[in-house]
Amino acid sequence: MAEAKPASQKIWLVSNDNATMEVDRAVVERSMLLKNMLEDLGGADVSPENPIPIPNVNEAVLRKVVEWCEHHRNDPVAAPDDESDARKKTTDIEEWDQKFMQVDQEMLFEIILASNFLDIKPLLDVGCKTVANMIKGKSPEEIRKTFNITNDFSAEEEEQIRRENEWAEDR
Amino acid sequence: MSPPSLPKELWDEIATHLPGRDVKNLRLVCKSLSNIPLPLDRVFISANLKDIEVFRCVADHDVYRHGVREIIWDEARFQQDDPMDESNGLERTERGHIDDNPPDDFINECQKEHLVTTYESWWFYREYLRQQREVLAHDSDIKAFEYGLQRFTALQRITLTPAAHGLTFTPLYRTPMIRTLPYGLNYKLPRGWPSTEDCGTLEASQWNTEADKAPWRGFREVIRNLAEKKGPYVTELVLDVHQLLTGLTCRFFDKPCKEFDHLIAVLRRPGFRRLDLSLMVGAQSYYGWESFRNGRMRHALAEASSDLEHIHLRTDILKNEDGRGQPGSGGHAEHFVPLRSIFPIECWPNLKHFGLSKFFVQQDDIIAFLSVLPKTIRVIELSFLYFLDGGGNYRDLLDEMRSTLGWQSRDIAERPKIIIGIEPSCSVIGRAIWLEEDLELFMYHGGPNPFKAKLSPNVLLQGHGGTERDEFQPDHERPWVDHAALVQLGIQKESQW
Repeated sequence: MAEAKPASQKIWLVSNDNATMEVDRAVVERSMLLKNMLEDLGGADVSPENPIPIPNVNEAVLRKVVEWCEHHRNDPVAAPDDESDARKKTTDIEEWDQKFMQVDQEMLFEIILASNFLDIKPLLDVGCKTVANMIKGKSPEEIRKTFNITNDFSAEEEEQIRRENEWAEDR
Repeated sequence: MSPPSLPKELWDEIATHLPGRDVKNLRLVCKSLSNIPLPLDRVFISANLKDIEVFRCVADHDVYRHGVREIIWDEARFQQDDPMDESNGLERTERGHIDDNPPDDFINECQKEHLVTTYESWWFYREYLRQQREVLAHDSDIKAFEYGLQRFTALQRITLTPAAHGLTFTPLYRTPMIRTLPYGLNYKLPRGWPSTEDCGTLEASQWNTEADKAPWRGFREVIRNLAEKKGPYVTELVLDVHQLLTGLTCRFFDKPCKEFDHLIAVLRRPGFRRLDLSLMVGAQSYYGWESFRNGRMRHALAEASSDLEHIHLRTDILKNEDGRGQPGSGGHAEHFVPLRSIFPIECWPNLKHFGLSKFFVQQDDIIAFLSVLPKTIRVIELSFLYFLDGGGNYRDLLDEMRSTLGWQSRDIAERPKIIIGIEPSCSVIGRAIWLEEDLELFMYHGGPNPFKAKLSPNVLLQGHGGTERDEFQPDHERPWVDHAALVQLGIQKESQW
């Protein structure tokens, strides 16, 4: 039988720019990817000299992700099928998370990418909802301005999308 | 510049948090975002060319067709009489109080200020009427539906409704056709199923001739096709009237007919899990409730698959005026039809949701019925019920439910949730007071009975729980409290007088 690991056990992570950080195991386990890895490998071999590499995530982003996991370390785990359409379409974000997400666009998208890679679904949700809130109620031109995107449609292509859009409801 | 560098699946994920109108705008930003999928889990069919065109486009699309879970058949029919007569619907724009200032009322007000001229309205109306004739003459709606049954591989539910057009400037479903209506068009709302424009009911017509059956064209085609084993994954059939006083004529159940056999074949489908039955019952009181007492409805429902999880029966019953004036009486006791003579509850071991709306009842009978519901039951809705002479009332019913059914001793997750809808004294189509949390408190946590009025035990006094909602305006939701409390909450403006 695997030995139970105390929640305060320390785990070391290293970002892709070689910054090592020490984190409680309970905090690290907000990441399903790392939780499964630790369960498979036991985690005993992880040390300051042998940290878990987190490729594609730099120090600044990893620190933000760890900060979020620290704050939410005791959150209950959501049931996997707890996602009705009505629930998904709400873009309500709790106050602490709203403040946490007040970062520049580049950092926001990096957090989304990191939470996707590390499989931290609630953080991914908060990130996606934040971007969704930046889109809500805006015209295509306003969205382009918000994200600095160039319109590369030909008139025919745009018309084709407009026609297809007619198939769906506005709700 | 290209869009921020997220992989497509993450943009798709962001789009799941957006309503359709924003997804559409996002798709129009640039080429790489134009592939974000549209939210298309339901499609519409009606006697209109635009609806059929869109329906077929989705059915032909190799991605979207696999995501469609529901077909909504809008049974509305434009009438051939003059839509510009006095009953053209204008009066209904007043149903929402403008001082309430929810967004939909604001939109209504804007549309009222930009009314399409009478001449233009008549032109549009004639065009919709022409398209309707064309569709019906060629059975284009039926052919499209049959095609959809083959193409929509995830299809689970078919909904039939006469209420798609909702109320003036407030459609229930923004179908492709309804989205083509010009801004400010005030037209006579089409329904299809027999109904009046006020709060009255019509006599439930016979189910004998083709002319009798014609208003329920969609319903007949749906049950025929499903009985012929088309659309193999369909397990839910919903007749949705949204509190309009109409439905399928209950006389459907009077005599043997092929449609009755088709319905039985649908109910028998393995895995069939949901039936919402809305019936018009006008004049049944004069016919001794023959359609309910002849046993044929019970027989049909008893044929339902044992997989049935959800049953809801609604009628358009109005309070019977023959009641003896007892507090809370909804009518004379002779109108009583025992619930177990309609619902073969012993045949549904997996039932999770039982709903009964607008029906004559007796308290003892409800208690006896609730006591034999299977332990799988999770939601019980008992809305707009009329308790017959000597047959109890909502207040005593709740007291008896709490004291006799023993549901408090069940595990929390297995306790049935109770929902009761009550008509407000000032009746507005689609608006009602809903009790849920208060009943949870009463049933399981020692809270007070929300029905407090001694002399009116079916009346919910303001300030004693309940939430007012509007079936046609989802934004209209507020606690059931008096005007002063609504002002304090910032929901209403202070009255001028």
